[in-house]
Amino acid sequence: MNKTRCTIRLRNDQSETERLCDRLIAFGNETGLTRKTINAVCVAVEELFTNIISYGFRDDGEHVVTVWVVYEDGTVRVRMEDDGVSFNPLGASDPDVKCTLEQSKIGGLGIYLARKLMDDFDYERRDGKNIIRLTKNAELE
Amino acid sequence: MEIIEEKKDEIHVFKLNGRLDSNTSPDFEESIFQAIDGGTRRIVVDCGQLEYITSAGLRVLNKTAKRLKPDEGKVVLCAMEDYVREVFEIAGFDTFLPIVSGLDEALARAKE
Repeated sequence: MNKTRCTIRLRNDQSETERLCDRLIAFGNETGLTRKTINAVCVAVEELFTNIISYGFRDDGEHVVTVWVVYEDGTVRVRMEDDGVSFNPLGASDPDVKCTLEQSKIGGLGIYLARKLMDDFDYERRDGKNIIRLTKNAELE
Repeated sequence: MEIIEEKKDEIHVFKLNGRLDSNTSPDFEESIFQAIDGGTRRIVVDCGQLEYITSAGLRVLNKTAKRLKPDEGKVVLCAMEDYVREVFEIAGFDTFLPIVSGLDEALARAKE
């Protein structure tokens, strides 16, 4: 398959993660991606979505987070957009992952996982929106 | 996600079927801490049907291991797919959480 794409519009509600991942898995299966590639994309996007809805919106209103996914020429590209407060995930410091159980902390782990699971990770603030672009070199079945 | 619980002697086995993410981790945390509050000190988590884990799921396992340590308790994970294990390795959790290949091996490790 040469090119596949999907658009997912999500409310800022934690329960939306289920629909998000259902759609990503369906997209991955249609495209013929391996479970490894699909899971990496699911985990990265889920972590970033959770981060956006947990810290991005300072009011009680409903907001939309949009996720576009495209597969082309062996690469999966994801673009996530939200109108929350400005937040650059690349500015977060890495957690210490070489520590013992006693020293281990969980803060920052989600964004770290997203970065490590993806091959490329960009952030841009434009027109009052946070735009995250992810790239993953895909493995096909 | 489905959580199937089973007691094997003094070992409490949690079989996870589905995705352990920020949406489902609170249920898993509640089940596991209910067992600990009920006296369980040896836990096996069977990850054979676990589709994936995110940091929310890692947080529950981290909290569990920290809770059990002073009581010489143990949590052992088993039957994980490679792509699930990758997340544990990136997070560095494979250094303090024992991950073994099969359920029998996990039960033996949890008994030690």
